[in-house]
Amino acid sequence: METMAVRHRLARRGARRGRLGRAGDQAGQLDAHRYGGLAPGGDRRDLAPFYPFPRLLSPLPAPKAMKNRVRTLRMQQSLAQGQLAEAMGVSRQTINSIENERYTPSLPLALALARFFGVTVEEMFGD
Amino acid sequence: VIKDCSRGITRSKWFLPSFSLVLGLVVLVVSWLGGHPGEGAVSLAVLAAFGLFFLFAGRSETIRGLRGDGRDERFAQIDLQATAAAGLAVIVALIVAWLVATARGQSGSPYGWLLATGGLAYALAVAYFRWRG
Repeated sequence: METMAVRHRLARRGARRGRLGRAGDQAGQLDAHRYGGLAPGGDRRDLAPFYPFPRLLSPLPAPKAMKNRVRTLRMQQSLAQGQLAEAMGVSRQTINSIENERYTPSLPLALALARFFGVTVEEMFGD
Repeated sequence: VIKDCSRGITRSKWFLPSFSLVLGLVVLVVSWLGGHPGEGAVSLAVLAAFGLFFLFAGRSETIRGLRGDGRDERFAQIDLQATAAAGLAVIVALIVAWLVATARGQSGSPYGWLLATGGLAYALAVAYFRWRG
């Protein structure tokens, strides 16, 4: 069974290979994609956010970045991050982190956001 | 669901200053009982200053999160990670202190007891949270 450390290492290795663009090394990108790292054809910025702990000492699994349309939907309604944060009952920084895909919200917050914008959770979150 | 996302996580901004003051008073009483009222008074002053600093330190996310009034689910996750990191640091320090004391021929039992307490508490917490689902 794969540990989180192994998954993370595979994702990083895949990202590195993908970035370096070695010929015929699509396996690296596939590894990265499969283990929550680099999407095929993507770059290293698609990886999970920076995580300060060495993998063996990590107290918690590395959070996996999730793409979303929160910024687009917010801009369509001409809302400031602070206004959306006020409506959701979270901090402005949390909205900013969600929009920049550094933080994946909990299910209640994801549902609240989807209801607020009148879309489904699947329309708002996902690759 | 809206507006309820942070219910139960946010605390009053008075919580940390009040807690610091109460802790300082407890330390003062205990030090007084132990015959060191001066040290207790210094501890009370330090803890009161700590509480006052957080009360008037401003509205940055870090200060509000530490104080409790700016907490939401993301900060709760940050708090969990920070707590785990701090626990890890304490465990490493205890293991090193235990090994050093044992290598010097001293009794490592105070550190051993603390490590055993930490390990037991961790195992019980895992069992409880697993049972709770």
